[in-house]
Amino acid sequence: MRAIKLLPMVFLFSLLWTLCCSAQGVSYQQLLQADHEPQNWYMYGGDYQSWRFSRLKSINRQNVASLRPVWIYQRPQPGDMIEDSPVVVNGVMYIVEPPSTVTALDARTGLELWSWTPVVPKDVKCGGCYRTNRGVAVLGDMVYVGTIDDHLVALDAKSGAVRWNVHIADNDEGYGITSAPMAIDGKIIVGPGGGEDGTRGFLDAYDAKTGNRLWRLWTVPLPGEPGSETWGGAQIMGGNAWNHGSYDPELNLIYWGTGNPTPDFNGDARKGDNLYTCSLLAVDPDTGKMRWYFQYSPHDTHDWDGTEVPVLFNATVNGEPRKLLAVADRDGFYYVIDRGTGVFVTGAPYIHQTYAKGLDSQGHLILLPNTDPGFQPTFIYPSNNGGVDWTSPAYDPLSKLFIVSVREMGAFYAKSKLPDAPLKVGTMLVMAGHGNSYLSGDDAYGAIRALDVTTGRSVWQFRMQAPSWVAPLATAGGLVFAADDEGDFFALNSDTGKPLWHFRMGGSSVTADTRSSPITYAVDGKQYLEIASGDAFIVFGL
Amino acid sequence: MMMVRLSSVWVICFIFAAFALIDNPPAAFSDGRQQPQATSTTPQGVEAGRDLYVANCSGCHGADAAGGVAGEGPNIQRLPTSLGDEAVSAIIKNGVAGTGMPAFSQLTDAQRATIIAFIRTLVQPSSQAVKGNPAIGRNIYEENRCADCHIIDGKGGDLGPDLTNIGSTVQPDILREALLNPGGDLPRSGAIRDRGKWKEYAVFRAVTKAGRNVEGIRIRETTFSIVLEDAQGNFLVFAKSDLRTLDQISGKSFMPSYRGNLSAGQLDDLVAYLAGLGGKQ
Repeated sequence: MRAIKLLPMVFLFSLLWTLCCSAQGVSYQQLLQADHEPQNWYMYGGDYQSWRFSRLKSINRQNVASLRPVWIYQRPQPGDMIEDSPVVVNGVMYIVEPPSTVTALDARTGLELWSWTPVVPKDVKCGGCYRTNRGVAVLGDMVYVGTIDDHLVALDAKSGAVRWNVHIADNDEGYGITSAPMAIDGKIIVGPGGGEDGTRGFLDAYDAKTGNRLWRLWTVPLPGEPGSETWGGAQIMGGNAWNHGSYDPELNLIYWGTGNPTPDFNGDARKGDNLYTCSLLAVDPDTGKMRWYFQYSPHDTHDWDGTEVPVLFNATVNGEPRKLLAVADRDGFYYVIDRGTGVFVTGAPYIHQTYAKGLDSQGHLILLPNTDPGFQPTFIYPSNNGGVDWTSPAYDPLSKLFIVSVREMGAFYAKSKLPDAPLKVGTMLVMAGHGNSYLSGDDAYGAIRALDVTTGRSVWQFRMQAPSWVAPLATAGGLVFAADDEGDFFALNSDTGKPLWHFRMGGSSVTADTRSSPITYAVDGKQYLEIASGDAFIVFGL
Repeated sequence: MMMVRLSSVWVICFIFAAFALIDNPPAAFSDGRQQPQATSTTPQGVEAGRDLYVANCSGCHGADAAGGVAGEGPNIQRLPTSLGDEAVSAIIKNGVAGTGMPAFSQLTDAQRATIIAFIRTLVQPSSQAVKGNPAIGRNIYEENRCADCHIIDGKGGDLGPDLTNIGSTVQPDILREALLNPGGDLPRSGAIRDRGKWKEYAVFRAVTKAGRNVEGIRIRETTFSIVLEDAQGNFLVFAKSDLRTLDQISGKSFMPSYRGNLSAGQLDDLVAYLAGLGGKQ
């Protein structure tokens, strides 16, 4: 009887605590120390180092076989594929339903708290991307989202009310935001996609409180500007910073990748390296100036954007402690780079590739002949979705393993003749060819592959029936979570890659897709896992 | 288990084999995998059409027009054959409302014609005239109980492919080859998004940890499971973790070869019958 009477009190206290904490918001200090609060999943990559790792371990190798669905949220409106990675703050989960709807859910029950849907034109463009969104950022008492028609919007975290809304680019030209913004100290960083429509890439910073633009870094030059000499006099297009980045607060550098040059498959006119496309940029967040760059794929003709999210880590190399970052790039090579200087440390292919002999001592690709797309199709590995596409890796600091969902798939690449007239921005015709005829099916597969973080050497892999569009998640419970293209959500032993549990969610490539990034969080001491599949956001627990 | 209905299995063969080449038409790839075919259109026109196709169409329909792997566009290799050039040209010009097919109104009539000419080159023209008697072929079909496993106009078994329109989709010489060498080159479906062209009717052998040994056509396969259909039409679902071995039996079909089982004349008759199903190309 006594316990029963106490229940309403506990509930009330819990509610007040939640509201109180929500009102206080999330400080930059909390974001800096995200790993100190593993009950919250504060940002896209879990932390600024983009580890996608949680110190939660109440779900572990011993009990993961008992994992079961706890609640399911079905999106009310059909739309493009869900590619979300939610943020969880003090028991509230913020998800994005395609194209740009932000919904706040009670993270214990899945009950909707509020939802905000922008008016998006039906004919909205996004050159080279689906009309989807990969998540929000949080800072203070606001939630930030980039919309498919290029608005950066700050919402009140408690009510969903619009606090400010800025239009950052012209959707008619093909710009569209699909990535999660990044919140740092007083600033929101965001970059739109649209490279296939011939747009000019950029990365922006906005004042988190007002929405005023603080700086813009164009990722490709105007004619006559430094770097324009690497374009052979051609139109300068592409290099879009359409995915997410990482941040080192001590070095005060943001690391953000750029997309391919345009037109994708015909590089005949744009002779040269086409700076700063397919590159990792180190950017001073105070000024927006580029400190250094590392170009993975100069003069790319395979649609191998260099937008893969870098993992920041420290390691001893040749007896010397180094601040490093690692990228499994879409071009199929694993790069370890000094994150202070941009100097290449080591690298190796992490998938089967047939276009390069390897990397030289500077980390430059040593290309094999006849691997450019021809007017007759050329077949090479990897496909134009690369060794991995937008799905982030995970990094397990306990095992020092870099875990990536790889795509072992080749493709036929072809180009078409460039038109005599200038290429028209805002039209997919600027692709001038395609690499989308995959050698796949029985001839392709996917895998969750664990690499030694300092060398890229493969330590274990879990083979999947097909390449997947789901990012892995590592936890201190000794587990790696991921999902395959058939819609099975599964847990692997992080030491061996052996499967320990799986659950069929139903969002397969045959029906609806499973394309998202699972996260983990806790409420009232209970650990949960979230992943989207088909039209559903599904949460699991013990 | 496989032997129980051997007679009907024997009969099915030709269909499996016939389907084997449906989705493997030659395309103009330069690496020797597939050879470009001659066409009545000028080489220059086809060349221009290919460039236009690559620039405008391949993104959704694939470089060989066999369909986009991400499900963006269907296989259109035989669209000019089945609809005619004029209808296809109209589709390109006006798009298809309610689908992802936009209007390519910026292309001229001549440009659309060259694209269609290029698409036609992706379909292998018949190199063998149909010289048999279709009426006799129909009798051969019935005598060999092909209908145990194949459907024509809604009648028959469903272990093998539906043959109602086989004549409009598969060339006579490919039908003949399929009868002689079933399982030699299994068809591939491009319908599954991101999964590309999976072999259909591929026969697998699964041996469970308990020692059960089964063979069946792969109906569905995931990372953790496989569904096989045995010769009796039973669906057998296995968790891969329960299997000791799982292997594809290369080159095998549930249908045995007709080589030596039918005379050359009987083969001609059977091919003639099948080639007439659903209209000739």
